[in-house]
Amino acid sequence: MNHSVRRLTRCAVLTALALAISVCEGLVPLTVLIPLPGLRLGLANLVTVYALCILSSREALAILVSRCLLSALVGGNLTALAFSLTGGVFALLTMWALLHFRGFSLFGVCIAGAAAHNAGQILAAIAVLGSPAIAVYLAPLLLASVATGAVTGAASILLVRRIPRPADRKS
Amino acid sequence: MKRLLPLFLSLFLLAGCSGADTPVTQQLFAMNTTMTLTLYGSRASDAALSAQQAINRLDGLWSRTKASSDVSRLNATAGDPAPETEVAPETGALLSRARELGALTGGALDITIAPIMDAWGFGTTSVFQESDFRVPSRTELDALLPLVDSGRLHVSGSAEAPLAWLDGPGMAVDLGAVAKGRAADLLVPLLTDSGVTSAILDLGGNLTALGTRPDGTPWRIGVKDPRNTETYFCILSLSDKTCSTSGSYERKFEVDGTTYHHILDPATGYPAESGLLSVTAVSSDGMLADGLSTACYVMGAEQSVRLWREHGLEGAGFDLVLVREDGSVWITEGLEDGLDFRGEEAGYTYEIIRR
Amino acid sequence: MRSSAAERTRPTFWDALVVLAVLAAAGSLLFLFRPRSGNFLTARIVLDHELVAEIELTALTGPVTLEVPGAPYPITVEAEPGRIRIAHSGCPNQDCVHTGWVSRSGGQIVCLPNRLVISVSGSNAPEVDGITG
Repeated sequence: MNHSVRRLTRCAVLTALALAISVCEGLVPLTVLIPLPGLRLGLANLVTVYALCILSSREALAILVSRCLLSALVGGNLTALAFSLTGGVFALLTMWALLHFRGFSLFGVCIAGAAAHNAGQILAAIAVLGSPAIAVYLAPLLLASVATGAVTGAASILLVRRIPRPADRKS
Repeated sequence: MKRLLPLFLSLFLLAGCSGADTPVTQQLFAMNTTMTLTLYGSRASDAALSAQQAINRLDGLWSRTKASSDVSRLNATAGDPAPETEVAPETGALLSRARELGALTGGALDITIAPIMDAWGFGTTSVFQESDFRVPSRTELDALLPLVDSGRLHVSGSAEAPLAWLDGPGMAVDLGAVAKGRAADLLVPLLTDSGVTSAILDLGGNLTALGTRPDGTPWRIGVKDPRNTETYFCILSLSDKTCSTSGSYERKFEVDGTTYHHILDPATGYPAESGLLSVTAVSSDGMLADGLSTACYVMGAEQSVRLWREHGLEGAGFDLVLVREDGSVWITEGLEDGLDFRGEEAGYTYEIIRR
Repeated sequence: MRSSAAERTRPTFWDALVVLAVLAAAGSLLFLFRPRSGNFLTARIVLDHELVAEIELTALTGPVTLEVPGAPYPITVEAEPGRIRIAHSGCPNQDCVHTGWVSRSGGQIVCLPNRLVISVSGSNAPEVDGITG
C-alpha cells in the first residue's frame, strides 16, 4: 500500500479511537465523586502518547487537533473546543519534550502530560471568563493529575509494548 | 465549591444554638437603620428578644418620624403658651445630658438643630429620598439659626416624671446624634442581667463591645476608611466600650458640582468644613461617644484635641480617632494599647496624641 | 519517534522528580490561594430577616443576575466572580445602588425601604469583630 495513504489511514483510525475514548470517558463523570471542573481520567491522552512514541510528532498533533475539532462538533459545544485544544496542545508539547530526554518512563511522561493538560484548560478558562477566580481549582486538579497520569502511564506502557509496530516503523 | 456547601449549611444549624462560644445573632430595623446584635451567653436568645423590645420602645420614644413619640410631641408644642410635655424618664435624661454635652462642646453638638436639618432635607422622612435634598438659601438659614439654641430647651420635673418643652415656635429637637449611643447604654445592663457576658452591638454603625471576646481577648473593632468604605484602616482593641463614627461620606448629595454632607455646623447652618474626613469617639459612655463623634467633626482636629486634653479623663472618659483630610490620623493615647494600624497602604499616617 | 521512554516498564528516578514538581506546583498554588478574607466569598441576601439566596461569589464563573422575589420595591442583584452589587432598585433613595460593588469579607449592602441586607463573608474567621463608621 502507498506509504502516505497508510499513514493517513492510520491517523484516521487513531483519531476515531481517540474520539470514541473521550466520549466514553465523558459518560462516566468523575466529577460526581470529586467535584472538580474538568476532572477526567484523560484516557484520550493515551492515543497522543502512543502516536508520539510510535509515529511522528506531526501525526500526533494532527490526530489531537482533529479529535478536538470533531469532539466539539459532535458534542455541539464549541466553547469546549478552546479548553480541550489548549489542554491537549499543552499536554502534547510537554510529553514530546519529556520523551526527548532519556531518563523518564511513560509514567513520568503521562503524569506531566496530565498536569500540563489541566494547566492548559485552566488558563483557557481564565482567558474565556476574563477572571482569575477559577485558578483556585488548579491546585487540586494538579494533585489529581498525579493519579490520573499514573493510570494512563501504566496503560500506555502496555499499549506500546503489546501493540505490534507498524510495518513501516520498525524501531 | 460544592464540598464547602454542606459545611456552610451546617453552620446555619449551629446558629440556632447559643452557648459559651456560639453567639445568637439578632438583626433588626430601628432608628432608621439596620442593627445587628451578636450575643454570647447562656440565655442569649432571651436577651436578644428583650433587647429588640427595648430598642423598639426607645425608637418609639425618640423617633421624629413617629407622631406619638416623645420627641414629636415635644416638637409639636414648641412655642405654645403651655408647652410642657410629659416625657418618659429615658427621654428626660437624654435631653438633659445632650444639653450638657452641647455646652461642653461649645455648641458644636446641638440637638435643636432639627429645623436646619429639615431645610436641607436631612431630617423628616424615615427614608431619605435624594429628591428631598436641597441647598437652602442664606436668608432661609439666617431665619432659622435663632431657633438653634439648646438653652431654649427646658427639662424640669423629677427624674421619674420629667417635663420638657421648647420655648420658641418653630423650634425642634432631633436626637439622631445621640439616640443610638444612649440606646446602647440602656441595653448593656439589660443584657448583662440576662447573663450575656460578651457581645457586639452594632446599632447602625454605632458599635458597642460588651465584655471581651469569649476567649478573653479584647474585641477587635475596625475603623472604616473614609476614602474607601469597603475597608478599614486600623483595628482598635476594645472591651466594654462604645465607638461611634461620624463622617462626611455617610450621607451626602451633590448639586452643581458641590458636595454637601449631613453633619451640619449649628453655628452656620452649613455642612461643617473642619478639615476632617471622619471622627471616631470611643467611650464606656455610649451617648458621650455618639454625641462627641458629631461634635468633634464640627469642631475640627485641633479643638477636639483641646477638648480631650481638658475633659478626656472626666467621668467615663473618652478617646478619639481623627482622620484629617490630608491623610494624617490623630489617635489619642487611650487607644494606643492593642492598636493595629493598617492604613499605610491607603496613604494614611498616624500619630499618638499624648496629654 | 524512538525513545528510551517507550522501552521502560518501571518508573524511574526522573519520574519521581516529575511527581515532586507537580506536587510542588500544587502546593505553591494552595499557598497562594490559601483561605484569606476574600478567597471563598459568600454573599447572603436577606429580605426582611429571611434568607432568600446565598451566592458563593468565588465559585462563580460568570455574571449572575437575580431579581429578588417578594421585595416591596423591585430590586435586581448582580453577582460576578468575587463581587456583588445591587444593579437596579425601585426604592426612592438609591443608597443601595450607590454602594456599588462589594467584594470584601464583612462588606454589606443595605436597602432600607426593601428591608434587604446583602452581607459578604469569608470562610475563615474574619479579622475584626465589627467595623465602626
